[in-house]
Amino acid sequence: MPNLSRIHAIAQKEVFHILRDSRTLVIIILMPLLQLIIFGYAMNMELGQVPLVVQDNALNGASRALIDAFIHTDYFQVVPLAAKQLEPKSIFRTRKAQATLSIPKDFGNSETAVYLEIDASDPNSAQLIQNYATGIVGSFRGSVAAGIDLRPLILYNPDMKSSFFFVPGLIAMILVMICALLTSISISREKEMGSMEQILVSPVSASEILLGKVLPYILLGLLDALLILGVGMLLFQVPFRGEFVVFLLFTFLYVLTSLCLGLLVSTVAKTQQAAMMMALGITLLPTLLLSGYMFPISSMPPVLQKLTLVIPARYYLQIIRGIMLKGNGVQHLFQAGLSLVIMSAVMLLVAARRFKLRLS
Amino acid sequence: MKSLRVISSFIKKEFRQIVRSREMLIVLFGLPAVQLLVMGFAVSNEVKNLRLAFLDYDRSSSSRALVQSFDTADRFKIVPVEQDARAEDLISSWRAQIVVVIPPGFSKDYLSGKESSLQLVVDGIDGNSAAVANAYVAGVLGEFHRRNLQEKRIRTPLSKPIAEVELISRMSFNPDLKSSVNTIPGIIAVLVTVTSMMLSAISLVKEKELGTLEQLLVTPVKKQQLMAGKLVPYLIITLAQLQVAIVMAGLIFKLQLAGSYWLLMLFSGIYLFTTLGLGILISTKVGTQQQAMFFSWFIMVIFILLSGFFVPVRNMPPAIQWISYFNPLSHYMTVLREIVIKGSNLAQLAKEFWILLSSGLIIFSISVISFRKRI
Repeated sequence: MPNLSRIHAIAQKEVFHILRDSRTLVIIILMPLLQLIIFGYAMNMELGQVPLVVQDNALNGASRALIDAFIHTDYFQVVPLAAKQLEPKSIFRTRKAQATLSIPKDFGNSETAVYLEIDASDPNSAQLIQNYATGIVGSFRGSVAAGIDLRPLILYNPDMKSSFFFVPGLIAMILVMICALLTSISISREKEMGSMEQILVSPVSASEILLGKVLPYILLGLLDALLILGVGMLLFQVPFRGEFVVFLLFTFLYVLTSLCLGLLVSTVAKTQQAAMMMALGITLLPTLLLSGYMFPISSMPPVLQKLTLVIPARYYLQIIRGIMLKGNGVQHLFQAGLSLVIMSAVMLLVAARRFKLRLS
Repeated sequence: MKSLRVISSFIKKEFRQIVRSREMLIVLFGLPAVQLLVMGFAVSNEVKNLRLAFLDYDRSSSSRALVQSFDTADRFKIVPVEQDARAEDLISSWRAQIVVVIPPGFSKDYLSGKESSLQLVVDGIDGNSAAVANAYVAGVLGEFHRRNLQEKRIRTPLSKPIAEVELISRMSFNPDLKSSVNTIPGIIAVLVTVTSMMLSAISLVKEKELGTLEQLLVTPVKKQQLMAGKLVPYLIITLAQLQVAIVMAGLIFKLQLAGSYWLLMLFSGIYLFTTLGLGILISTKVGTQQQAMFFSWFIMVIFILLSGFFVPVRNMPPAIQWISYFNPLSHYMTVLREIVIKGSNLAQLAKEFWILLSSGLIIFSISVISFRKRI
């Protein structure tokens, strides 16, 4: 039975470690806040006004009406170019325009086609530009618009704000960063410096050491997560539609999984530097890239999609976005929660085995 | 002559240290290779395999034809649902991301040329995917309608024919709109930054932590020689990594360098003065390796987020665009993309050239000044 006062002593020691290294602490608290602000304000997928070069060879009423239609939408901004006969590709190389619209000589009479050349070096923007242009030309001809009227209803995030997407994601990032990265570094540091050996010969048991070491980090992680949650809700009006108890329950589960991951790393890594590199390689980067934090999992190639199944943040992201944005209850998140439980159990078993081996 | 010998023996020592530790080699060449692979495939704003459900209350041949027309590209993955389901429930339970509701009487209205409407319900939590999904559906509907018009199954309510304008668009440089064309040069820019900055940030702190810096300081080695001896190997290693990345991009992602190889190297060399300088600067300010790691990580995250790697700088609000003007990575990323994708020349990249050159000179000078030969 773990002794509470011993755990408390170890935890206190760890708190001193954390507080003493104030520079690391500041970065840990500042980094997510800064990311939150950048994501909230800067990560905008909407294109601003697209600079467009128009080569009007018709110069008649029809061509002017079409150009007006492009200007009036706010999507395009016509940029004048001195040498009109420039080839589109060389215009794109100077980055003066992202698209060129070329209207043939007989437009409005015998000719009905206009030519749009788009700089597709950023395919995403190119796709959007094409969509805008198709829309403009479509409404210009008028007749076809009487086809099917599409009435979109965007649920949960009607303004499609990116902060709604990133605030829950950042919480998942911070928790894994603090719980897995910091704990693995702190354990491997004690090993590297030899102080682990000294603690091990004291009457404190292994489980007490581990509990004492991880408790401050759990607290730090949860505090940081709540800070992000608060700032996100105040600054960006991110809603919290679900129940707070459900949120706490699943967050605790995720913290547990992250700790098991950190523990596993620390049993493998011999030095701090190795622990940092490994923790970066197997916790932070996968969480950033393969969890659906930024890039949709369904767009990845099948092999990577399989790989995401073993990344805890993948499940937690579904959970936290479900709770905060969709107001999901336990019944919707049961499967994701179960995956976290299984993952922690497996990692804990492996880590415990390795830990014992090291001691013997 | 003598000073050159000192520097070269320093360089030899630094190389030996790196080559001797197998872990370091893996970190320097294995890890970036894996990152390029994983990121090349994972970092993509393409939206594919959207889980799409239909609630067809019309159940006519046109509504079925409409459903069929969604079954083409890899954009949608149609999920079967029971027809008494509610659209909101399908989305709230994560079964579908988009639900197309076809109301009763849809085909009657549509075929008689009256205004007909469809309800589209989209999961908005990922704003980007939602916007793209919306555009995809509109595209499929437009195509469906155009096809039907051609087959003359619909009588247009307007009797007089209106001349149609046809938009023919062509995609320059990247006709298949492959996402990797844009992301791979970006990843390479990030890798170059991460490697050079991390290496130089940790280098001196490590000697500090291990106490070997003290030993170096009592030798007659001059400060400039010490710095050169440290930085030249990192410069060479980072450039070597760049070669590996370029070769991999060509072999795996079929991304050929459109522009001049030497121009790319010139820009990379200039840019490395900035990152190596920043690394040295961090190294002089922090006390432990862990702090060096966290500090350089912190700076890099901001650099990367504001570089246009994920989202074009053009899309950002003016104030942030202004900030990212001072972000050297943003300019280097532009240069890499322009040279690799479009084959731009030095004249077209003149602005970036002067910015990167002056940033390199300024930051490197500051780091030389702040680097003192004492503890």
